[in-house]
Amino acid sequence: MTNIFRILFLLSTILGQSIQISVDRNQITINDLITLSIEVSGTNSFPDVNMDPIKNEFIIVSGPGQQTNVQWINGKMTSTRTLTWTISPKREGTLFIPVISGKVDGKSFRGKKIKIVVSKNSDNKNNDVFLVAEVDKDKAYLGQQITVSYKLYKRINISIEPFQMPEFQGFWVEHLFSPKRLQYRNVNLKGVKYQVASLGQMALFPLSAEKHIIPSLKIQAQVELKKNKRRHDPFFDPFFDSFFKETSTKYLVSDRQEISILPFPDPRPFDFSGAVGIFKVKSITDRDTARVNEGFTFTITMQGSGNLGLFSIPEIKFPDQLEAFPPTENFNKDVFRDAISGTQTWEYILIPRVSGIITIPRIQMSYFHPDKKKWVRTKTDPIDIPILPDKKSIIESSGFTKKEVELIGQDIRFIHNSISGFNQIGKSKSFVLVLIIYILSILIFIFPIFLSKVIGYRISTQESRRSRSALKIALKELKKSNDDPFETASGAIYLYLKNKFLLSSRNLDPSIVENLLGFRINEEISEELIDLLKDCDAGRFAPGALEREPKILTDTKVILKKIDQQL
Amino acid sequence: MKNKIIFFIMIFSSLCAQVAEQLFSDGNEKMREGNYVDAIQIYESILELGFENGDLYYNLGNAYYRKYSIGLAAWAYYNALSINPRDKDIIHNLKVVQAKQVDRIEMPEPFFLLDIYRKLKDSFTFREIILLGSSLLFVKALLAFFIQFGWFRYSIYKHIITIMIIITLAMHGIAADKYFQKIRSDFGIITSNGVNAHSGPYFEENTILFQINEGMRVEIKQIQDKWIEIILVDGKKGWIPLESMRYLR
Repeated sequence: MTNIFRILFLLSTILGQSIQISVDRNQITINDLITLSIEVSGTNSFPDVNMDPIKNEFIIVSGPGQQTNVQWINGKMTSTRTLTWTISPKREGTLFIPVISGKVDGKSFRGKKIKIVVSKNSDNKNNDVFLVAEVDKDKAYLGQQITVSYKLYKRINISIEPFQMPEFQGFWVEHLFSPKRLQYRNVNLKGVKYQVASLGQMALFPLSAEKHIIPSLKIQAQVELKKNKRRHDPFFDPFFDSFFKETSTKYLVSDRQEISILPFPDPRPFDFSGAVGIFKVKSITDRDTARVNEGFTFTITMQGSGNLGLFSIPEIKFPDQLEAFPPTENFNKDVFRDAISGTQTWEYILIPRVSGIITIPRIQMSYFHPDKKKWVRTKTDPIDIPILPDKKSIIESSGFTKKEVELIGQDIRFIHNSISGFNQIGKSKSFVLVLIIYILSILIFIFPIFLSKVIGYRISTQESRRSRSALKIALKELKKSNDDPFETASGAIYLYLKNKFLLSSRNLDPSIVENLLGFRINEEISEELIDLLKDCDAGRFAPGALEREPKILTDTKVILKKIDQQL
Repeated sequence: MKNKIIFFIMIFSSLCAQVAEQLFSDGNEKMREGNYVDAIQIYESILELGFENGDLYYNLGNAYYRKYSIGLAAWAYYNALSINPRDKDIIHNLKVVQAKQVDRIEMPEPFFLLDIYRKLKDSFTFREIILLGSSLLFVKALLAFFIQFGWFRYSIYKHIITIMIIITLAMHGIAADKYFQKIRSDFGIITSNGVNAHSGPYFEENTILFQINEGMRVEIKQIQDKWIEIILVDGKKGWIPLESMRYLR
């Protein structure tokens, strides 16, 4: 502790308060640490200090540490409170600890700049202990693996404190190796024997970013000091010395390195999605045939080494007849010879909705081969799967029915352009029309009844129609040619009578007819009719015997008309 | 004086109808240009004027569909279908919209006669059924008239009349069914997504019964302040905020 300077700044002595801001030394190397302390006396509390401006050029390694001193001198009490920080410079050159401002007991104070001269770490390699970041390449393509390993070289006994790996900006980091405890092995470095231990190894994949810097690793180590003085004291024998080793804290920093990014050669393939390395893609289905609405799995396997997991396969366009669910991804990583390799699988569940042969398209992907410096394409064959029709009993696994799925692929139909008249909302034209129709129907229904009841017009009934049309029917009957004119004639007469008098049967004979007609018609006509009927009977049973035969039909006609007029 | 007022009202309403037709063709022009927001505004303004027809609702549904408003599109198509129940385009588009709907309530297959009856009932409007029924009644009255006067013979037309009586009665039955269904219950379409149905007309986290999404057709039980009690097809009941639903005509 020979070169300790104490720079004191008496800031304020109001009411016995004094604030001192000091550093333990102002000329250091980049690996050294400085202790910054703020000492306040005559206050009741620790000062409240804003340390943010310091962080621009220094790293706060530890702190603030608090310390309180109380002294009684001549019955007067003085108390001193001290805050200490351990800080480390970020760069070489002349640095300034900026103006530190803060508050104590409600009063604010400001310090002054403190100049610190940081000299370059004098010949690193000749030191007893140093850190090295080994990078396997300084130029890389985006996505190409860079392997970094931090190594600690030492020639003396040190113990390192727990440390954290720095943040790698612009890289995707995969930890290849991080030791649980340091294991040293012996190496010979330019004729000097060193012990070396790996502090960690990482695979870095550059992402697209502005800068790609491999940051420096900083660790704090307790270095054993060599003792120059040998006291020949029986109580401080060198043998005992080994139990009381004096150590000092040393700050070890590795060098920063910049990685330059090489551009990919043009032209880029259209199916390049960022894969760099060596890959092979395979696809397989779990069965050869499937049924409609019966799911099967389709697995895509990507095997290789490179930036696996940092890119995705090109999107697969499944045919519309297949319903595809989002895939489950699986990634098995194994570290082999410092290179990240592994298998990534995507498992799709596909449900065919239509029977027939469905083709699952080929999957293809281009990747960049960084060693050969060229583009390579890997692809699978398309898979044809025959889909059998649905079994009726299969219960559908999803809420979609086949019909609805078909509709999803369709679009709505285009608008209607024809202008057909507009109706006013809430008003119905047709109701009046309907009402009119109802009233008309009812009127038509009741009209005949009204006619007969009120005016007395008798509407012909079915029976009256029958009796009125009796003559017409009878004459029609006469015209029917028959072998026997007598039978025809009598038949026609009986039919006429049956219809006229609404009889139930036409089985009549002359005597019944006589009774029936009795007083309704002239006796002459009645007798004429009876004679005619008797002749008919006679004629029917003695064919060809009577001379009336040719005249009988015309006679009948005449007599029927006469009767009809009288009735 | 009174006549004059009626005359003016008639002139005014016919003018309005012309305005509606003009607006409709403007809206169609916007649709062809792909300016769906403007088209929606124009079509809605026709409705606000108090005019409607099936094509208007159909085109409005298309516009809403293009703006990804599934709920409002379904609302428009349901309305269009209630005016033109046998229009193939409307049926097709409504199916497309329903396929995009998030919620789906699976109902058991109804008894086939009931199914036929419902399809029959839904494929005619109340107006059409009652017009047809009354016309049949009219034809029957004429037939009866002619038979009474003896121009037609009863025996020939007996069966036809029996069949006509049955059909007329059935038609009036269906019409009555439709009419009472319409006055007894109102229907609405959910127009926003993720609507929470509460057990009562108030917001409270622990009262949420279920969640429904746009496009669902619901029956309206009652309205209270800014809340509506709805019934889903499967019988679930709940209260939703008034603004998350639109009435069907």
